[in-house]
Amino acid sequence: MNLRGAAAVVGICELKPERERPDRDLNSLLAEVSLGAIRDAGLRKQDIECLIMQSNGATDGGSLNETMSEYLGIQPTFAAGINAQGASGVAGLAEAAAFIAAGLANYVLVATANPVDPNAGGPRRGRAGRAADPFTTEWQIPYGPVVGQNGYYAMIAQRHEHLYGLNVEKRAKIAVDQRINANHNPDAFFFDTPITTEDVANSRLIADPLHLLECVMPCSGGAAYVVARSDLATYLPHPPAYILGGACCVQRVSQMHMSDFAFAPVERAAKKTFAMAGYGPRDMSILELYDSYTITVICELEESGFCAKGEAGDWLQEQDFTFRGNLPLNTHGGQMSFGQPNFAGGFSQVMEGVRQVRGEAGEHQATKDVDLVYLTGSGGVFAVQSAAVLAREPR
Amino acid sequence: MTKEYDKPLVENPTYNSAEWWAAAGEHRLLYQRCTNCNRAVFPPRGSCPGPDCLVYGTLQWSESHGAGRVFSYTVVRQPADQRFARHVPYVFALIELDEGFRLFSNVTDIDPAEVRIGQSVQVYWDDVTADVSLPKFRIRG
Ligand SMILES: [Zn+2]
Repeated sequence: MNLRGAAAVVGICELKPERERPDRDLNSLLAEVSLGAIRDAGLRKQDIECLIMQSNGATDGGSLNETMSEYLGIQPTFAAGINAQGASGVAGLAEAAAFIAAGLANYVLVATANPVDPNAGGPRRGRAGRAADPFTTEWQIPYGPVVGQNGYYAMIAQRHEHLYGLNVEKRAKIAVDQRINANHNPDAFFFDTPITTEDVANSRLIADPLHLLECVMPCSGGAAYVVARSDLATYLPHPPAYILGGACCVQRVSQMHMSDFAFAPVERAAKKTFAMAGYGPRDMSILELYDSYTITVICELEESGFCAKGEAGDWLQEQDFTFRGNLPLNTHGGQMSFGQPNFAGGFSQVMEGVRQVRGEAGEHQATKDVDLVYLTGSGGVFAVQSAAVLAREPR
Repeated sequence: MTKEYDKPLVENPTYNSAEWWAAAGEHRLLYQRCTNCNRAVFPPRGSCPGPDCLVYGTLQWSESHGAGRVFSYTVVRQPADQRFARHVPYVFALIELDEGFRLFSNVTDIDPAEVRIGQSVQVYWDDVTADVSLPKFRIRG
């Protein structure tokens, strides 16, 4: 049994990233994007049979499924959830498809939102202020917490540079090409601001060796999508984006884990996803890859098989990752240039993948034909990573 | 020893770490070793992550010699916690001990620009309060 082609994304809704929405709460944003995705799908509330709410950091009391069911007036017959942090958006594709393939639902709603930058306002609201976790907080905080995950990803970049010589000038290729895409996306946070390789290399060091322009832009936003059974999807208003495969691989919570963190769990997710989809890396038209930092994308490209491990440095320079290029990558600008509304950041890759399959990305629509989209998600510090393939045809 | 240490510390060690912090107070760097598969394990926990270890409670405390290498590091220039602001830039590192486990710490008494992956380091103890000592590292000559 396999979920290949069993289901498709039929509705999407994404909020334009803003610095903060202090006047809004999580539930109101979830409601706005959920309703938008149901409307976009051409469905009614009562069609939704399963809710998958992104639940990291949203468990102050009760359950999001229950709150949002009452809030929205939806009565699902199965309530699930996804808590793979930044990997959730892409992981939700396979999860929703699995519910459908198993006959538990015909229409599934997946949603997430973020009212404020979780790292704004200092450690009391940031990661440093979270309750003690036996594998992380206790062993990290006494030595000087870093903003967000900057320092931990910096250690990955440092190690990659040590092993393979990937320096900032080479990493900058990702940031620069993605920014060109953002400059053609009016919804992107940095729509108006072009950058060059020199700009990246000369930007302020955030945590050695990562520079400011290699890091995400934390902000507020939200996103939701509706997944439908494939034979029902064809009756709906938009061309379906079929889910051909997916996986979500967990490796660790902290970098004290005795694996080399220049190698990421997306390798296992990619292998499983491509095997399920019946396609390989070279078959993909475009890529929508989780990009918390330049180094994140680079490791994902290597471990997903687009180039050999350690060879990204030169390979990157030979590609054109813009929407006009040979291998369009993060055509919306990626989270580095579009914005990262916390876990909704990982949903932005799904939203853009669907827009590209539909052919409705406007000015940043890939100029090449988009048949197959490869997507990744990443949570924590390469703690959990997801992969998926979206397609214009169900096989 | 200072009575006015103003930086964050763990006030309530977890179920498995209380003994580790007590030993640290005596300047002993503990880790766990599995009596079944001999694997070194850190952070402390109740059962061994080894592939063939299916019984809870096979881990025993062992004492490290405190010698290791820099596995990776970063230079913090913008701390999340302002109580560290006066120390920037400082080195936040992941140290791999010779016994085969890793922990986060600081590499001190060195120009951050001189730190490299693979450098040999040795633990020393920073007695930050009357009760709490933190393992920190210096380059081994
Ligand atoms: Zn064992």
